[in-house]
Amino acid sequence: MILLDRLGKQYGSNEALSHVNLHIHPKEFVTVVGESGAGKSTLIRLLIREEKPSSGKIIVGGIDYEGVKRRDIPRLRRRIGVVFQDFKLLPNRNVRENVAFALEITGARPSVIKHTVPKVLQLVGLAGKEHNFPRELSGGEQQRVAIARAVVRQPKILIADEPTGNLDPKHSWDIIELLLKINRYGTTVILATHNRDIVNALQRRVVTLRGGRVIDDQEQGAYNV
Amino acid sequence: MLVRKLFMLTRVMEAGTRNFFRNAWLSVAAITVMAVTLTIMLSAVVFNMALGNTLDKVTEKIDVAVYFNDEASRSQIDQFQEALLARGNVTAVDFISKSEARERYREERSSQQGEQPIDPVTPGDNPLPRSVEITVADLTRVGQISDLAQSQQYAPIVEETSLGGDQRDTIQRIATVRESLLTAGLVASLIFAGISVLIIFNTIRMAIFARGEEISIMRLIGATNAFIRGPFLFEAILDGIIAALIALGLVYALLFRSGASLIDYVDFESTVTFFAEAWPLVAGGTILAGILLGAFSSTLAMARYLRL
Repeated sequence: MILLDRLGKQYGSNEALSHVNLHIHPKEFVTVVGESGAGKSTLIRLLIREEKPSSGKIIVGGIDYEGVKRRDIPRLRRRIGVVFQDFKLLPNRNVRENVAFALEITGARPSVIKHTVPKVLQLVGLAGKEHNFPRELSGGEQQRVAIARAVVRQPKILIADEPTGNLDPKHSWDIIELLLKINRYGTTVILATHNRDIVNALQRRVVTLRGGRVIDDQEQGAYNV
Repeated sequence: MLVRKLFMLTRVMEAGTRNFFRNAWLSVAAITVMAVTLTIMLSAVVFNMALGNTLDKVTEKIDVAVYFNDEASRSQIDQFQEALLARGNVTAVDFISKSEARERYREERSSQQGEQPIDPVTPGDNPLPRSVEITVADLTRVGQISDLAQSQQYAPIVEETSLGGDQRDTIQRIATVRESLLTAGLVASLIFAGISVLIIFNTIRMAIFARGEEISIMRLIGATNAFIRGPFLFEAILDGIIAALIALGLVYALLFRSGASLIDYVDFESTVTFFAEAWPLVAGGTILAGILLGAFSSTLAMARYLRL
């Protein structure tokens, strides 16, 4: 599903990532752990093609990023759902509109949007909050909206960058359970986090980054930074 | 695929309309200055057309003719005709013989008096001179005809030259007014077009800054550049269309309400007829000008501030 081959990224003289080799299979649930500055966010920015690597290869779903033209980047991003630490919801749109927006930009038919959005909101447990605006929701609820928006296009891959970073433990667990549910439906999930409790409780594959390098990669791993 | 594009277009237009109302005051400013610009442009067209028509009418009435004395030989007159035609400004020369002149005189008298033509001029002692009637392309340059008539070569055979006299001055004046109005209209249009571009540029720039966060989110979830830019473009085009409608309303109201009585001397009639008959052309052209003005300014602002 995702293949990283000797991936490297430099910012000036600072090496954010170097020689990262990683193979992620379809339907896997992978946690990427590491301290701040270990390279987690850089890795994600490269995966959604916000930035280009300095060296190495990225192949996602059979597409080699090297051959992707600028104008094809939007289409590439639509194949991957992304959830951010700060939610990144559109403040002037309500819950339903925020989720619908992800479909609108693809040119989906209104009938499809009308049919799909309530189902996804049901999935993330936000039925009944359709008409609330982001500012009227708790952090946990806002993150659910973001997840709903990320999965409404039924991507093969969902990337979550510190999705629980701004949430209390209870809401954090709600979000992790939601990600597990989405993974059970067949979506590959990549979770970047530095929350020890969550990683240890998950018992899933753990990739550990330090100083821009993969120092550990274990099936059913534990938080060991 | 086409249906998909249609949905996208609808959504872009919806977003643009939403932005338009969200920046209501900026939109009003942009529309006002654009409406002024387009009104000036349209007025320039109206005045240019009306003065052009007036000029044509006055020109039709004018006689340019050269009369010959009886000593002139036919070959001398022919030579003069050729010399006239050699001037670029002269388009036609008609020779009027003595008998033709007499015929005309009789007809004029009979039509004036409504009587059977009496014959004050008998063929025997016809005092009417031979002449050439001259059609010129540009009446402001008839001076060259009198120059020719007064030249050493032709002065002996020429009795008199008629160049329209007072009417010529009038024509000269109208032509001057028309030219300066056209220049003034053009300059004013350009200045106001420049101001319009600046104001719309700033409207769109502020909209881009205000929605920076939104734009970055749109990019991250996979919106195409066209989808992000579209609403800004549509907003400016909407400004242009509304401004064009206002300008059209103003100019048409002025033209039809008071056009005829605006200035006695100027012939607004044909212009009013033209604007009434060719309204789709006028409206289409003005709206197109508004759209281009809006599209140009917003494209400029996006190229500068919306790098995607």
